Parts: sequence; structure tokens; C-alpha cells
Amino acid sequence: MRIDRDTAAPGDVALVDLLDRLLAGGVVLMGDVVISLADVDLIRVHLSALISSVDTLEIPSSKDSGSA
Amino acid sequence: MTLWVYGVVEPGSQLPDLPGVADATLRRVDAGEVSAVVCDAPEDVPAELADLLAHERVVEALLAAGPVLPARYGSRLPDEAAVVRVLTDGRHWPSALEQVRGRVELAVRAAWRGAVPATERTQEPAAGTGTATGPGRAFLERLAARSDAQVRLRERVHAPLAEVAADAVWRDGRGADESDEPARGSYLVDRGKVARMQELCSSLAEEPGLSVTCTGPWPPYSFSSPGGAP
Repeated sequence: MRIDRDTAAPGDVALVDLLDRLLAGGVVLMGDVVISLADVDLIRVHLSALISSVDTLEIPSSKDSGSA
Repeated sequence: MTLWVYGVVEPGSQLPDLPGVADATLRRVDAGEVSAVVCDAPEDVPAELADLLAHERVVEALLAAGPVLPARYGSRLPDEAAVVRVLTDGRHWPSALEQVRGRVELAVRAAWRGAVPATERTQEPAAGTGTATGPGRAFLERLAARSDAQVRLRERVHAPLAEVAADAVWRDGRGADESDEPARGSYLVDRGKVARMQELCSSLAEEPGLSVTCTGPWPPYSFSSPGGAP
């Protein structure tokens, strides 16, 4: 799946949206939060350091569907 | 063995032909009306981008094959018995799955570009409402302007997008323009309406007074919680 950033978006918007989904979204299976807030912050800081310039974020999959 | 969980799917769903996080092998845990896709969990929650992408890759492959309730990244359960217990805990897993069938998520960020346009501002407060001047009043007026800007943004961007979506979540941003945190919307959209939503976002983005970005389609992370109490 290709995540294309909007032409008006900063380079890492797609990545930030990915983080928003994975770390702050998704069902929490049990009552308590599995990842503590500190862990989430660490992951965000770590990943921010990895971001240089992301035009398109291509996630290769076993079959190239071309559209979701 | 601790299990890493990717999401909840229909019972008997086919497993994607992909490695999981830390190259683990995917497997399925069936629990009657729903199933979970899992793998052996690594010792800690890995924080490399490659690991997040591996998780996302699996979830997207699941999405391509049918409805999925994506689990939060890092979700782990002690063993298969625990997975079954969670999936049969009385929460409405099957109807939550049904709610996302054939639907994807679009993520929107929005802010006013520069000052809120005059046409969007509310009326000025009536003259003579108070004699106080100075930094206190100025502070309150700035607060009011920012909150007003967010209300206007919600009306301008969220309202038309929510019309097209099956479900929607909006979080106000901070501030009166794009220098602070943007407002964020998540929209659960029928696959057949994705193009229309993206066109709507594009035309909003083209307005000189608005800064709007739209990414996706995403798996429905923001719409994956089942109702009901465990």
C-alpha cells in the first residue's frame, strides 16, 4: 500500500499518521494499557530521529493490490 | 509463550503470507465468533520503524482479505488461553467487526493557514461589556479567539467529511493557526466512497485559508474498539 502525502503536507505527515494509528489507535485488548505512556514517548522520540524526508511511504506486501 | 497480537478477524480467516514482527510466524487463534492473528512476541516491544512497518504490513494484508479490528501496536497477551478469554469476554467483538466490513480509515489534519479569515470569525463582543483592559483581558480574548477558530475549523472541515463517513472522530487542535497543533479527524469510510472523501479533502486543501492534509486509506485503527463491557 502506498501512502501518498498530500502536496501541502510536511514530509513526515504520513509517518506521524502511522504513529497516531499504531500507538494511539487500535483496540486495547485488556483493561490496562499494554504500552505505558513512557514507552509511547520513547518510541515517538526514537522514530522522530529516524525521519529524514519521507515523500511516499511504501509498505510492500505479498500481493501488490495497487489500491486498498 | 507471550503472544503479539495484530488484530481480530473473522473466524477461519486465511493468514497472510508474511513474516510478523521480529520475523515471527503468524498464526491464528480461533475463539468461536471471531479469531485473532498472533505470533510469538519478542522479549520487549521493539521501537524501530521497521518493526512498526512489519506490524502494519500484516494488518494491511488482513484488511485486504476481510474486516479487521487492528490491535494497538505492542499488544501482547500471555498465551492462547488468554486470547480466547479476551475474545469471549462479553464485549461485542462480532458486531465491531461487522461495523468495519468493507470500510477503511482516512486521517485528516487541519488548521487555519494564517489568521482565521474575517468571514469565519464570530461577531465582536458588544461594546461596554466591561471596562477591564490590559494583559488579563487580552489573554482571555486570545483564548476565546483560539477556541472560536477551532469551532470554525470543525464546522468547515469535519462537518462535510463526517457527512460522507460511516463514523468519525475529531479532536480539536490548539491555537488559531497552523503554528500550533492541528485538529485531527479520523473517518471510517466505505471503500466505494474513499475517492469522494479524498476529493473533498483536496478541495478543502486548495482553499488559501486552510491547511488540510489527508492520508490513507488506513486499516480502521480508530474504530476498532468493541462496545459492551467485559
